[in-house]
Amino acid sequence: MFRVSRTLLRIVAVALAVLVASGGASMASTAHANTSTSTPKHGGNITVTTEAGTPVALDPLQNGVGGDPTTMIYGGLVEPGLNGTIGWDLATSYKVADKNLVGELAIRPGVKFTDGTTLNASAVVWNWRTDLLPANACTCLSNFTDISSVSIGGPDLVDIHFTQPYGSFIDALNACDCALDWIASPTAYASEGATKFGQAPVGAGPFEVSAFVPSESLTVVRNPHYWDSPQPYLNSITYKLIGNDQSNLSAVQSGSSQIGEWVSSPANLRSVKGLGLNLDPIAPTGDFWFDIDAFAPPFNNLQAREALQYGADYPALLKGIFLGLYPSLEDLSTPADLYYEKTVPGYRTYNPTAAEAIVKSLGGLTFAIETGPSPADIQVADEFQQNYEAEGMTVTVNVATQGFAELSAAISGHHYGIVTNFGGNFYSPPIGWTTWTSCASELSSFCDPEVTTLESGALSAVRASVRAADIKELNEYAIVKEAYIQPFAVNTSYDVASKNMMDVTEAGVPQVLWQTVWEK
Amino acid sequence: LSDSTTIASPGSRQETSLLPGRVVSRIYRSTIVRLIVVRLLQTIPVLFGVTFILFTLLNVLPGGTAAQILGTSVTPALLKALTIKLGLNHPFIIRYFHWLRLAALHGNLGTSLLNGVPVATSIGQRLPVSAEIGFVAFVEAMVLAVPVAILAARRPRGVLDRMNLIISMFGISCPVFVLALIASLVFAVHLHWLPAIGYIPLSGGLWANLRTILLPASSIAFGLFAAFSRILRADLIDQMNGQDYVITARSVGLADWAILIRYAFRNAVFNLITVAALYIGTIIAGTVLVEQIFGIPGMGTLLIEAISYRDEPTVLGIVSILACIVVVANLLADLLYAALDPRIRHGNSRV
Repeated sequence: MFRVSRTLLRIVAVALAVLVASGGASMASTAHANTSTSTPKHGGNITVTTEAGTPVALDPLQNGVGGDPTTMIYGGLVEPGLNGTIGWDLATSYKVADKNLVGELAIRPGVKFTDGTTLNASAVVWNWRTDLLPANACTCLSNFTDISSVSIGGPDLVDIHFTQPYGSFIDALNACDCALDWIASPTAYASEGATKFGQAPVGAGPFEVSAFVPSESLTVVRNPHYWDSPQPYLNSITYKLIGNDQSNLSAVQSGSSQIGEWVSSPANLRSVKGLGLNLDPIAPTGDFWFDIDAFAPPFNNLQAREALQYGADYPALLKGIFLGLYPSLEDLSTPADLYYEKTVPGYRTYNPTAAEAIVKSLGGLTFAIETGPSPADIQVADEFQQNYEAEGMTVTVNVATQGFAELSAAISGHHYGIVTNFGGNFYSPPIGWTTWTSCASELSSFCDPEVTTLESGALSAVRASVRAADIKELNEYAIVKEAYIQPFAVNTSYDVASKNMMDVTEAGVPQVLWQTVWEK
Repeated sequence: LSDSTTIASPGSRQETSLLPGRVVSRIYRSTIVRLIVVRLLQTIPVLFGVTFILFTLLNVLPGGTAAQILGTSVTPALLKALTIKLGLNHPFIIRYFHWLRLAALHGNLGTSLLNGVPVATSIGQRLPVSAEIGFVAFVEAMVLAVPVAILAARRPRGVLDRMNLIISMFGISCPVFVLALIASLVFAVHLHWLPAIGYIPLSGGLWANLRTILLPASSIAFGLFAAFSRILRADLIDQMNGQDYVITARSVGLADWAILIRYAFRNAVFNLITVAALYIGTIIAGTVLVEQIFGIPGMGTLLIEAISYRDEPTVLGIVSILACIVVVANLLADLLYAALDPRIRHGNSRV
């Protein structure tokens, strides 16, 4: 029996040694640079694996649309540029008129949809009128409620009429990953109908659809008549859904895919270069923060909110959980946003003594932390809990297993003390902030007329300097003076791993620009 | 009646001499036909129960379809508009019976709430992919398990038996997704023998197709092989050690190999058939997991997406199909039992 066991052990040991040796050899390979000064070249049929999910339909108005596939097919009127600035694409300029109640958007002349029809002001107006119909329930409606109508101002000019001055309109369009930015061919839409168009759409982007399996894969081929010739460089891209970071990285390592998108866990992000792949960073535009329920005890008391802000050790948390990949943050915008402030005067840093003293003076502090279901969310909440309990607070952690829907139900029903939250698309503040801060929003954890006034001022301001001043004041008021909300980290929500691909991302730009990507 | 005329083929003198009505009556009295009818009738309450419970659960979950679709863009007005647009403003019981009426009376599984595509079309595209992976996994497991179990049972506690024990314990205790990730790292990333992701249909060539399903199918098959081989081995040893017919066979000079393969295997296989049928659910669950890991366009990814968005018609359609597959698999197991066991075939045993 012993002889048999030894033989077996030897076989197992040899097998393990072979495995380790082959793994070690691969791990030792070096990373390549992903940007160069060489001239891009045409060609290449690549596969992109993504963890973000592939769309269920490609009609801008249908549900579950968004992200890279839509940009490949439609391009955009404007695309996020460097650090929140506007990258003109199918539109070329914007100005306001008539006491800031009319916006004039110029459309790039001579652009054709892939069905050969013209993308002009008429096509944009047809798209926008459809998108803005309330019955169509477009997700784009939330940031464009001030639009009363749209009309054709000229062959390539769209007039946007506002109910009140909306100086942030073009920034909102820039930030919007939504139907208003994606222009579909009205001719193709009319002839195909909504459902068929959703499976075989026609746009004017750098690529056109070749094959589409909803929720699974999308193959696009180069649009030979793309307006920004010689782009795009790739002949085709097959965009495929993959379940997790590990499978994603394995696919790129083995050559089954060339780009792995949405690699998100800090541990896997750190391992990318060691696997012989490029790590192409996406400029992050999201934050981690926590909402404090100021509507009800105990946090309707400013002191209790201050105790929370003093009580969490953010530097340790950022180092421990996010492995140093998520930079600290004091305001609600990120370095890739307009109006970003590295420091907010008076921002409360970790001060356990101050937190403890406040808790003592209040006679204790008992509350619940609601958090999302991802491992990072839970770790953050657990870390907060330990910090707070060490300072004499009594804390429970509730994990919203159903994700955002459950969290939002908790927030709107005020069944929480604080919520660890994260969000994106905050480039060009304060667009999007009102969801979390306005008295009119069910998801706001407080209602303060001063905050509403500052936000309205910033949103309507046409001059950037006025808006910047309003936003600065807003940050200091909501985060420091009243301690309603506490941003603490940039949400480096995802990056891209690639092999032999060039110009996948650009510093300060929050997305992959597929028309510029080329194969080495 | 059409069935009866088909069964009473011209080659069967005894059957053709009977009147059609008597043929039907005789067939009905047959144990096997009764078994099939009973099993198919049992499918009705099973499908009703499964779909109703699932529909209720989908509606009890916080969030709801419209909220899931809107995500962080949710506002009360938008939520209301989308709820009406999707027809979700009606009470859930009315929506369920509307779906049930369409499905049961017209065979129409409805359209997806997310993209308006008929659910039957989506399932039709993806079911063959998942079925192929499940089938290959099952065949792989059986083809390996039977000879290994026979070899292990031939010399209990021998080298082969002990190796099988170690491998099987690993197979039983290792989750499918872990195995799939390891397999991907070893055979795709390090050795470059097989692709890490993707699926090529049979129309793209047999070898190309096999290359894409070998890793996912084997990841599922390994656990099945482990369970099947251990069960069959134990039954074979039980037969060989204690049964009178084995002693008789040995006394007339038959070799142990011959007894094992010709007689003991036939008697030991019943347990394996039962277990194999029960493992259909495991195969389906495994398929859902490996499709995620290997990026395969099967039912699993469709189901996960549909659940996360609470796409009721798609979830109900897929689950109905899966429930039917489980029922049919169990029916096939019963029929195989009947084919192997004369007592059942001739109606001497309750089914």
